[in-house]
Formats: sequence, C-alpha cells, structure tokens
Amino acid sequence: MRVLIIDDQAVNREQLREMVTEFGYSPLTVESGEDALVVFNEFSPDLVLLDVMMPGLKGDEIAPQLKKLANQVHLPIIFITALDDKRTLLRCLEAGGDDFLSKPFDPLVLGAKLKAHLRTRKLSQTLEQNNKHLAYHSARIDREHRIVKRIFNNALNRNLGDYPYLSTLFLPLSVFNGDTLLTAASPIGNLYIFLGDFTGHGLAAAIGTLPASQTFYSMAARGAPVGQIATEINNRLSELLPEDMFCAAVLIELSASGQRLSYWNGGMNGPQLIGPEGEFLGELAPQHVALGILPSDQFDPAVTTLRVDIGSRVLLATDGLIELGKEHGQMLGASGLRLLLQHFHWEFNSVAHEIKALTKEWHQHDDITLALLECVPTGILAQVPSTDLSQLPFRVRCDMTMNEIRSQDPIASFLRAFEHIPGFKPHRSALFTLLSESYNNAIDHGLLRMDSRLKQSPDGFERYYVERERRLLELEDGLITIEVDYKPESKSLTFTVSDSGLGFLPQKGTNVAEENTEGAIGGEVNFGRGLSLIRELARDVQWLHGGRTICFVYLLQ
Amino acid sequence: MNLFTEYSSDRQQFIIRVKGKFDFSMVQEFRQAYSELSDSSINVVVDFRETEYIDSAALGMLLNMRKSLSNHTRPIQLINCRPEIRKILDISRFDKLFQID
Repeated sequence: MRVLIIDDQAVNREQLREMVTEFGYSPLTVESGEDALVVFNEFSPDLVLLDVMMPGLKGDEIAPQLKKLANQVHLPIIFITALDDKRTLLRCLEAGGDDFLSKPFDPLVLGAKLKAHLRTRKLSQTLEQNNKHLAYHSARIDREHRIVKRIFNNALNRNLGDYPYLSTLFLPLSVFNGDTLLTAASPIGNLYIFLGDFTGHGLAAAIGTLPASQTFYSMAARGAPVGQIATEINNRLSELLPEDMFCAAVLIELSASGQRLSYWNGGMNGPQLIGPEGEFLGELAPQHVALGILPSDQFDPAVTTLRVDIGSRVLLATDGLIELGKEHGQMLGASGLRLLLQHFHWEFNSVAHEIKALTKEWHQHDDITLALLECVPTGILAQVPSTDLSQLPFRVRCDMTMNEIRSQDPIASFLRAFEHIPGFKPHRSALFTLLSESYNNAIDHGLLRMDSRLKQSPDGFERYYVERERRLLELEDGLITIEVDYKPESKSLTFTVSDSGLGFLPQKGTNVAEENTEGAIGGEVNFGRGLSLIRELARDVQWLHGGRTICFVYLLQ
Repeated sequence: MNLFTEYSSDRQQFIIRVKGKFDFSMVQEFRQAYSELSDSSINVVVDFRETEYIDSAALGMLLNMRKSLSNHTRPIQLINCRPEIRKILDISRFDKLFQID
C-alpha cells in the first residue's frame, strides 16, 4: 500500500514517513500540492495524507484534483491539521476529505486511521475490478446475443411470409422468444402451423426452437402427416433438451380446401374453434403430454381430424396471454380472450393493440403469442417449376421374354429414366398410369387370358391376382414389347405395347367405368376401368394386329 | 412396407396411408389393413398425401373396400390427393362413391 504525504514542513514529512514505514506501507513525500500532482500517476497512491495549510495550492484545492486523478476508485484523503476551526474542517470535507489527523501525530491514531481507510480503498478497488469484469462480460454477451439472434432469424425465416389468412402477435419478454410459431405449406397445398411454448423464457427457452423448427420445415416440405411431424420433433427434443425442459405444442394441418383440420396437441391450452358466425364451437384440447418428455417408444402420434365450415376461425394463444393478469387477480383466460376478439369484431389489429395495453397495465410475466387462422381454401398449392421440354427426340424399345416379365419391373425402369429427361417430371404420375394399364393389360389379357369378371367379389379380387401369379409362373412362351417414341416438335410420347398372345379387344363402345357409376350399380363391375383411364389421359388410342397391340399418344403439356 | 395405418386420438377415425406406388402389389396388404375393423361407426380415411402413382388396380381395391365396409355408417374419405391422383379418381367418377377432399 502506497501512502502519499504532502506537507510543506520537513519535520512533519519526516515524522509521517517514519510512522508509515513502521506500519509496513510505502511512503512518498512531497513538499507541495503542485509536486503531488506531478508524481501522482507514477506513484499511484492508495491513500493521501494532505496538509491543509500550505503555500501555493491549499489542501482543499488539491483534494478534488487528486480525487479526479484516482478515477472511479475511491482514494481516501486524510487532512493534516492543527486547526480546530470548524469552518475549515467543513470546507475540507466538502473538498473530498475523508478524515482528519491533528498535530502532534499520535502513532496509534494514525495507524488505526490508515488501516480503516485502506480497507475502504481495497473494497473500492475490488468493486472497480468487478465492474470492469461485468462490463466486459456484458459487452461480450451483447455481441453473442446479436450473433445468436441472427441465427434464430435465419432459422425461423422459412415461415410462409405473407400468408393472408393468418394474423399473428408476438410479445416476447426478452430478445429471445421461448414461444415459437411456425408455418409451412405442404406439396399438395395444405397449411401447417406449429405453436410451441418452451419451459421458461429467454435464450434458454428459445434454444429449443432451433431443432424443432428445422425438423418441422423439412417434414412439412415432404407433406408428412401431423402425427409424424410431432413424432420427429419429440424425438429431436427428447434427445437434446435437459429433463426439466419441454415444449407444450400444438400442430395443426389445414387442408388445401380449408375444410379439414387435423391437430396434435401436447400440453398446449386448447386453441379455440370459432364458427363462421363467431360462435364458439369448442377447443382443440390437448390429448397428449408436451414434446420432449416421452421417449420415442412411448410417444403417441394420434391426431384428431374434424371438418370445419369455410370461414371458421382458429384462435391460438400461449399461456403467457391466457394467464395475463393472473398476479392482479383478473386473469384474461381463454374465454376472456375470445370475448376480446368478439368485442373488436375479430379485427386483429385492434385486438393486438388492446393486448399490448393490457400487458402494460397488468405487467407481463411470460412470452406472449397470439395467432388467428381463417379456415378458407389455402391457395398455396406448390407450383411445380416448369422446365423446358427436352429437344432431343428419342425412341426406346424394350422386348421382354417370360423371364424378364416374371422378374423385372419395366414400368419402374421407364419412370426412373423419364424423371431425368427435362420437362418430363410433372407428367410422371400420368405416365405411370398409362404404362401400368397397357403393360398389365398385355400380361393379364394378352398373355394370361385372365377373366376380369373374377374381380367382382372381394374374394375374387384377391383370387384374381393369385391366379395371375400362378399362370405367370406356368407360361412358357410369351413376349411383350414396349416402345416409346418421343417427338419434341409435337411434345408427344407415342406408346406402343404389343404382346404375343391371342389379342385383346375391348367390347365395342363400352366405357365400363361410366356404366359403373352412372348406371347406378355403384362398383358392381370391378374391371374395365384401366382402359377408360388410358382413353382419358391419352389420345389416338388404337388397337392393332387383332388387339395384340395397343397404341396411344400422350401429350406433354 | 409402404402402407401405414393409424387411429385418430379419439379412435373415431381409421387412417390408411399408401406411400409411393398404389398398384396391384398392394392387394393383400391393403385388404388386411381394413379387414379387422369391427366397429361400423368408425370413419375410414385413405390419405393419399404420400401416394405418387396410382392405377386401375388401386381403384379396384378402393371399390372392394367400399363393398366390404358397406355396413359402415359414414362414407369412406379419400383425402390429400395431389392433382394427378385427383384426376384419376375423377375420370372414374369416384366422387360419387367416396367423399374426396
């Protein structure tokens, strides 16, 4: 500990230096305030003994300057005085003095005072150190939060940006939100909504939204069923989250038609279903425990599906909103929330405004999320990117003997090859149906002479395929040729499928499928449908060679 | 296995999903899927969300199911059909026999 002694009288300086040294501190003596200011920084004293009456700068003039040099750390200044003049003493205190030492010096008193004041100095130093640490960490955390925030934004920005039939309000307690609302479109135009509420709030709660959202988006892009998405998210979360952390969540799928609603609800207060006239129809009540609790073998993916009328609404809110005002003994509650929306005639912006006002009045204790979904046709059918059709003409021919017919799947092979030709992919379903119908007709009726009437009874239907299998194994000679001819200029694929059998001709003018339903016999005749599919999907259907060859054209448009 | 079945959480719905190709190779599996349904009030749903290809054999299987479950009180639902699948169902006028969404 360093003690700076400022006194114009050599006797005093000498006496004080000896005593200070005796106590085990390091003294430095100067004759004037001016000298003190010069040596201050280099010596960097922990305590100052300052004479009040000196020529030049007086003690009470130097004290404030020394205090200033000491920065944030408390520098004890003890005035040396022979005065009993109260006014001078007061002035010294006002100037920043911490104590007095009167002449003649009493070693005991000086020792005690030094000890006491250096203790204060030490405390102040520790405090200063801690403050510096704190400031450093705070800056570091700010920086890290900015980075993490960025990651969160990137991770969650795959939501449907401007879906017009969903209104949302997010009021997180901090930068990070333990609530998460995810939206995505399925390939067939269904809408998925995930509303999750992780235990707690802040970063620790928000961290779980990352794996949950990534799983959600990738499963949604595949058009997976709600139960499966819930299963996957649960598996991810139960792997990652600590035991005391979980995610209350509801997953909703609204069909493209806007009239079918499937949901999986684990521990989330039930979203409210509101009819087109604003009437309350019930809750999508939780049937399961929250996500991230059960191991995968105990997880129950069962969903509930219900039909809803166009114009119905689903009102989703996290606990933060439902329990708003609880501490004030006037919890908003699910019905309160509904009344609020009814009051504002379902005008979302006004409701959001009102809720913000309520959070100020009642003090918010948890993250708040509110979403209002309108059940109408979603209009989000994924557009298949149309690629230009390949300009390269080609012709493929596949001759199959019984060995190949028994062991190969030519339809799958053709489809795999077609997938890679530019512009063919959007047509693969139709191409499958056409190939399957014509090839199976050639086998069943051309080669195997199967009788479709067998298919009429449920048992017969299966017997038909058993019999087909048997005949297929027995037949010794047989040949089927599939030929596909692609002409880019007419965007046409011409299929020619021939068999070596006796030929097969459709009964004249029959379109069995039509008779089937329009003749009100409702599926009594369970065959002939394949040909009508070919007729509808393709054009220029012809039978050649006494029915041993079918030929048709498919337009890639 | 390309066929999956599940009950809804209230066990009022029985859902059958066929993944990828729905053709005659499914005959037995498909029949088995619904053959043990004893409760005639249950709502049977075929979910086509993962069905990419379908042919007349599949249509036949659906009609067969309809016949087998004719004692069921609620019509069989065919849901989540992509446009290409929907087209095949429409050609065969299945909208008159099933509830299609």
